[in-house]
Amino acid sequence: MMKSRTRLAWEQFRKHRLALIGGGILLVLYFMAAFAGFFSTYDPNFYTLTPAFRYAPPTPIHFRDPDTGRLTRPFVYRLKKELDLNTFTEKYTEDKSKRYPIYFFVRTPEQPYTIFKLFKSDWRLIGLGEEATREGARLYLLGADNFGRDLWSRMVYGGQVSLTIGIFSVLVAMIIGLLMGGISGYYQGQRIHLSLPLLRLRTWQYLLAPPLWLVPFRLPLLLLSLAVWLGLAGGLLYSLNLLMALSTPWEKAFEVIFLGAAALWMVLNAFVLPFSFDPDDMVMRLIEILSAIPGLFLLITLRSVFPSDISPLMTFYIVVVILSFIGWGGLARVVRGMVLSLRETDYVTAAKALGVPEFWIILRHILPATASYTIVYASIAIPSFILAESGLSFLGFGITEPYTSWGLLLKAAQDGGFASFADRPWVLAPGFAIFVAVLTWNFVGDGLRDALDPRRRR
Amino acid sequence: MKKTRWIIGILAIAALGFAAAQPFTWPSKWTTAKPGEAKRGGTFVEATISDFRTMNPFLSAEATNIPDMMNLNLGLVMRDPTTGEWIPYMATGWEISKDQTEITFKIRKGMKWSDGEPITADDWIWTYKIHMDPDVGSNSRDSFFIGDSPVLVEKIDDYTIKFIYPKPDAEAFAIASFTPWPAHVFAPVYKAKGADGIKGMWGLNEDPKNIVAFGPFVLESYRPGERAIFKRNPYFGEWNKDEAGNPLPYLDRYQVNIVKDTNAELAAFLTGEIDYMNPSTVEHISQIKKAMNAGKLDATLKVNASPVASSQFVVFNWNKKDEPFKEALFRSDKFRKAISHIINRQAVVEVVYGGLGTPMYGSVYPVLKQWINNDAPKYTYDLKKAAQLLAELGFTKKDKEGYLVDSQGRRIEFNLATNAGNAQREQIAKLIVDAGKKVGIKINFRPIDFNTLVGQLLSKGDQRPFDAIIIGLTGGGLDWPFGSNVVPCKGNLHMYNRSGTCIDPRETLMEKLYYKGRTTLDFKERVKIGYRLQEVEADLQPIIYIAGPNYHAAWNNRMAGFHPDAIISSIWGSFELPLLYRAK
Amino acid sequence: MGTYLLRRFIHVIPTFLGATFFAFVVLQLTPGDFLTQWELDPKIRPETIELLRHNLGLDKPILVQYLIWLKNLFQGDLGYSFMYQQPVMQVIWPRIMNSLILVGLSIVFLYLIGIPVGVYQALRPYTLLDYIISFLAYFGIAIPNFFFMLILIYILVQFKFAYGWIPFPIGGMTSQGFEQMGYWQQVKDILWHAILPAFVVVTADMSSLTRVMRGLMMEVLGQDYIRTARAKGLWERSVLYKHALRNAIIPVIATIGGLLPALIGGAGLVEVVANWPGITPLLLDAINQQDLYVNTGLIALSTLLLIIGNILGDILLALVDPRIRYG
Repeated sequence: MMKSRTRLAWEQFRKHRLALIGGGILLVLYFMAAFAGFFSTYDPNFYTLTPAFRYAPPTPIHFRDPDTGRLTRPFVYRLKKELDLNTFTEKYTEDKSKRYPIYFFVRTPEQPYTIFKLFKSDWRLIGLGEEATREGARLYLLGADNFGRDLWSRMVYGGQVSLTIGIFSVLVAMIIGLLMGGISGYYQGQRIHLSLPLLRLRTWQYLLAPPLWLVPFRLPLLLLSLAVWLGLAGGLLYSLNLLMALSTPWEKAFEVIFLGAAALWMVLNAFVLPFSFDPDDMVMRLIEILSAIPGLFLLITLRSVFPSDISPLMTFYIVVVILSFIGWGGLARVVRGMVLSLRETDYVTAAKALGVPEFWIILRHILPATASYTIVYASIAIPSFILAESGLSFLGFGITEPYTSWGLLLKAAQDGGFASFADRPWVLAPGFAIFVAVLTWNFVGDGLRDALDPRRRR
Repeated sequence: MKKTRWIIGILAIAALGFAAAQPFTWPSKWTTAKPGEAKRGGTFVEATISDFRTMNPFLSAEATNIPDMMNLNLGLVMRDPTTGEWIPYMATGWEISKDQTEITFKIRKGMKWSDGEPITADDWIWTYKIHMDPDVGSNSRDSFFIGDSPVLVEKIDDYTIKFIYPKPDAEAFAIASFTPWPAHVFAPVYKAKGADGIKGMWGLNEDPKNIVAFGPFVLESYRPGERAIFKRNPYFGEWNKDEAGNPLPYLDRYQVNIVKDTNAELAAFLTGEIDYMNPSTVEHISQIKKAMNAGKLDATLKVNASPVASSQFVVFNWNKKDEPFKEALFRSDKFRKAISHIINRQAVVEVVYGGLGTPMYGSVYPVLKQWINNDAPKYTYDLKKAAQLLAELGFTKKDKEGYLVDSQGRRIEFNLATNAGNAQREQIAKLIVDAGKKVGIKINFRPIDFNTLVGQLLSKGDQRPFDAIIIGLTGGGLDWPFGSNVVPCKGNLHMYNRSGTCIDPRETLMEKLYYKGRTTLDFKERVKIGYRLQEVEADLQPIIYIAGPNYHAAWNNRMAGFHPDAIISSIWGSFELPLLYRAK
Repeated sequence: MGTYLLRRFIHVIPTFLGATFFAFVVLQLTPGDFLTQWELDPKIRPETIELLRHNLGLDKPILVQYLIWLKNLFQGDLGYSFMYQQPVMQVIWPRIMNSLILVGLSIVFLYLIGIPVGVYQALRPYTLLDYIISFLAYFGIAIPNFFFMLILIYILVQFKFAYGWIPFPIGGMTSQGFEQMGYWQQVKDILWHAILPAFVVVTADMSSLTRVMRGLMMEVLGQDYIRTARAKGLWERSVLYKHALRNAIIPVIATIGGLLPALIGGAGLVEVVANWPGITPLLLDAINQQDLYVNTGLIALSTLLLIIGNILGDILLALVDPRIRYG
């Protein structure tokens, strides 16, 4: 049955032409990012200061032999830099004394790279070869940045960050969202106890219940409950004490009443009140809290909460975690709704009756049923995370040098301001890459939605 | 002798109870306009990047603020931008006591606040008192201290005021040049409600009608996050004239737009919405220049007018008790000189500032030309010399990965931190890291949060948490360009060594020279001490200076009356606001 | 309905306390505080900074600071801004109003353009125009809006160079001489400034709303009751607007409540690029400078609005959709 459903979905998906095209482009993009070393022309951090190539334009590629006028192997000339003191821009002219042919499948032993950090290689799809590089000839397909680093290579490598950040963030967000949504929906109405009141009979019934060998493991729970609740009460009383010093007598009365009552309630939790709550309520409040705080605020402050004395690559993972921390609420809410109805279905009731562990029921029976929605969610959410990364870079909180991402490259273009539009439009290419990635992911997302939603079939 | 007689003459007039106006004449050499050429009327529009925070002069802490825009930081004395010397402004003259610890100023007569009240000694006295109240939290409070002892201000009579310094001080006039605020507005509130009363005054919601100043313009309106508009203060013209005797300012209005994005500021300048800007990047300059060349913008552009008064530098941590190898390395001047040799300052200027910057080799900003000792040794980019110095330290062999090691196989490796998000510093760091690799030094770049960075930099004791940091400082006086909390070993910005005591004898010498210079009143003598200090500093290389950007100015040609080229700089700016006028 | 609303309002309390306390804790966990930036100023002595830290109450435990803030909140006082040295409400209120204009206008754009375009597409699906609109909608989603705004500003500058005038102002909210204008002129002036940024802000949302609307409308048009209505011989216009649109629009209405916090959340980075004096530039400043009470004040307000927005959304939904009842 599963198979036929998958096939049905695939047939639907194939009818969605934009989705197919989008999927194709995405495959190419991800393939290039995966084998970035091969598709880049230089190491993304390769630059020389003599000769310098600050903001060099794309190297003109010649196809015709200037002497004979016939078609020949494509070649480039060396670029010479001059500073135009009238407009303060660099001007590059071709030094036509020597031609540098472009080769396919060249080796660059001085600039080796790794594939997935596992295999070492120095084959590149196209290039001029090491000899030409040493002589100061460059093949800039998309120009150079202010260091003179090849923008095309940086863009190919930047794709590794920009294209995966969405997927990783969505994966993390999905795990949190599914788990929270699942718990929230499945346990809705079943209260969880968070205190073991010392003076209640039920506490001791629970603690001393058979099997007896578990008793020594349960006793620490009692101590934990006591420690937590009394600790909370103590903390509150301590701050009440500090607060009293700053208050007028009238305020003091209020503070004693409210904070005192709260502290008393906590003490009671430790001894007589069995404190319990509905996990559904808890999760829903948590989502509300997260959605109430402006995303921009969370992004920036959480970014600075994390220890930042770490390698720039770690910042990548931190950004992933923050993005997903912000993004899981919406999914959890929908999943909760689906689980609420799913848990009443016959097969779940049957599994329960058979004594299947609850965790297993959620994992095996309930969550798979939400799969089609989850897949669509993922394909729609990924592009928005890609955009979020570029926003984060715009604010200077994204990934940092020497690593790069499309967002970081776009920020460099934005910092250049109007000069980026007027003098060197090719620096906008990373923006175009973001555009294409987001666009194609949306195509795929739409295709998936149409394919997986039976009501939308046509 | 002559001056004294003059003051006596003024006293005689005062005794008659006749407050004659004593106008101050703004010299023509401060502007490109000829006397009498300027037209009257019109508005001058500028932009600032950050919104205003308050209108209260006692609370303002940001670089551009409304109180300064009204009173232009003017006080009893001001500096002549053509000579850098102090000249009387709101005072008519002064007398320095024999032991050089007291200065008595005669206050100019006939000056009035924008509400028509006369300006008298009380205004200075109360301004001083309120700034000095620690509960007010004024940013200026510390400027009234020399070391830990405060400067005292006394009123002799309504038009005479005396400053008493704990010891002779090179910055005595700078301290006395603070801007007065109306005592008749602030004193009654301060007397009645104290510091809290002052804090509650002149917030951004204050009705501009209640704002009182003496400068050329007073606030007319303010829209949060958008703009502040100032209108001409008619009383200013009564005692401020140009050389032709015309009252100043010429303009009717002065407007400051708040523009948070530099691209938006450029757009506003290109389309003529604002009259003036300081383009900060070579991209902005080239855009302005192109628009001018194409005849789409009639403007004047002054590129590379001067270096800016700020610095970028690398500082190493001398307090690493837990890592004696690193500590010894960082405390070695040979090592620091080697690092200076691997910093390609020219490349920093080219790559980071687009060619429009100035390399730096010492703590004195290049813009302070009269203070720069060009004979102090410079450790310029030279990888061979760096390698040689490191070899002298015992690092002669290279390990498998190509990094230098000593006889015990210990590598030169350290973390280089700067604040994340600062693209320029990150690029400087990249150049250093890459050059270090060429020599065989392993430098790990760590961009970290600004506040964490500051916390690490300013931590105290024998064990501090960082290796090396790239950061910058701004500010620094014309009178004595060395920082009171930077040079002395106990200073909180003595960033390389915060153990509280001097470690290197040259540190002790620098501290001694600092205090000697600070208490030397003769300018030439002081410059000599400054030169000596720079030589010691160059030999010690406690902080390795890198480079700074240059100052550029651009204005729309419908405005005129700007500074002559010689005095356009990051210190003097590009214009004197009262002398600006609208040409078209 | 009454008990339902009451229950919702009771839920407000833990959410509100949770969000504000969370913000407080996160803000305090970030290294340094408002005064850290002053420590690098060579003019200020460290003793002065310690004194100020004490005066601002930043040396107290987090919980105490939070309780003080809460106490003041009950007295209608959102605290004191360190940056501006005045009450938070006075600082953020004008900014909220400015953002409100921008976001309000963009919401008008959203529904005024998004719904009709989506409906039009649904009525003529798979035509050339449908494809063009769909593509434009994708375009709107795929471009980072702060970058879109920069492109528009660049185009405006070039327009000015070419023709000597500009159809829209370059950034800002009001023209020079705004104070001297009459009331309606002022309104016109602000709207004129707001059109471009509002359009940029709304591109992404408008694109998805168009697509959602198109999908919903097509779905409804395929339902049996529409066929029945048509078969009964009802006017096509009546079928479309009275039956189809009314049903298709229900889910869209449910989302209106969620837009309320966005109203004060500001228009994001577009406000920075377009130089709109809204809440985002202030928030960025406040975060960078760690102006504690401006941050928590904003979060407190947006939490309240979010909750009210959700409740309003529910009520609206109940009003439009007769099937929904709250007990």
